[in-house]
Amino acid sequence: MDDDPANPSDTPNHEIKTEYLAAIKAHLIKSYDPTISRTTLDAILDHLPLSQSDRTVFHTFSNLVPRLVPIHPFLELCNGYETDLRFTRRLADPGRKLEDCLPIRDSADLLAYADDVAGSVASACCYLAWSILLPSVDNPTRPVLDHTAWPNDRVDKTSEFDATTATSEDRIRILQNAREMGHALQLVNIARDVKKDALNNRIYVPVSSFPDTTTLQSFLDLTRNPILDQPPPSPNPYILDLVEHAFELREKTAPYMELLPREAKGGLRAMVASYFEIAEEIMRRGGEVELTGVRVSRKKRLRAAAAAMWGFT
Amino acid sequence: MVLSPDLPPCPPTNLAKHIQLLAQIAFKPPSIPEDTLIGLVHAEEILGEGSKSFDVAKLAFGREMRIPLVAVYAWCRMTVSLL
Repeated sequence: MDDDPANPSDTPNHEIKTEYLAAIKAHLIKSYDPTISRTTLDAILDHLPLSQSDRTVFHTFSNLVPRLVPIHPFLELCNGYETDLRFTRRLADPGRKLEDCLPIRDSADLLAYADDVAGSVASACCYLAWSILLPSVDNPTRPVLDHTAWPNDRVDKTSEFDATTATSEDRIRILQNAREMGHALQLVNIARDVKKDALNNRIYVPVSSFPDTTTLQSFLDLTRNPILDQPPPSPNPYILDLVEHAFELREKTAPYMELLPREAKGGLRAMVASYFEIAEEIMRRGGEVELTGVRVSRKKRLRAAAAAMWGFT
Repeated sequence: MVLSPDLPPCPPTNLAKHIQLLAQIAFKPPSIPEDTLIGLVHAEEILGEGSKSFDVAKLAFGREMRIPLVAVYAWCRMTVSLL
């Protein structure tokens, strides 16, 4: 099927995925409507290529999550998916500048994307901890209603936050720092998958990080053809930059995890520690990652998780 | 209790209300949607295949936190795989 060169992102694959994303968002929004029927929700799922067992994942989400977590973290995650869909496959199109095919142009774009896909999930974890581990006086069976006053938990240093509208100023600080911890984990994710993503025409390293288009193109070429007459610059420095920044964010935000309910702290520390074993391994390798990512043994992750859970790290 | 939409996910701290809730559950066991349970089994499978980090870390959470975390993870994983 021919692509329209004037609008190369409108490939059939891209169009189908855009429809899938619309269905996912529609199902999400309807799941948060307490009056909606199961039949209506199921009709939306009919637009997605799901097996019967895969549909149960959406059923479980609809049944469990809306009374515990506000909808906005999941809508932000969908924004992140939209960014992912903007990576066009027509990077080789001579009529299209390479930089124009990549939505992560600078650090601000990277931060916004990390906030959408990981900061949002971190925020959701906080809401889950408060809903499940602290009894709600006003809304015992739907504790999510306690949290709807805080739509402004995103990291936004320029906005004026009015602490008087929040139930607790501490919770806003916890949410904001949780989001930044999410950014850290996403940076590790990006660093690990740099080569794999580039192979799929996705570069999350900001375009502004590269000194020129030639270097950026070489970065892509490296994943397609590692044997070149003149080997391109190594991607390792970019990878190390991401991981170092991740460590800084972790150090800054880790203390705020201690302000969460006791029964959640250990697990969250374990999750972060286990994930950061990937970052440690990348540093040990000097930024060298494979097309398949970086392997860390289960034993190592368990050790790190156990030590973190008990507060030994 | 997190599985039943009619029960509070966290019991009240007031002792009298806590006992009242326990009695309610004992005499009238709550209904839990069957597809929730089936979905959780599938969600655990997805987690086991998808994230070694979280598969390890989930052991550090109590059951009440683990259940919705696994549900959220599986939803995220499923939606990513569709796109």
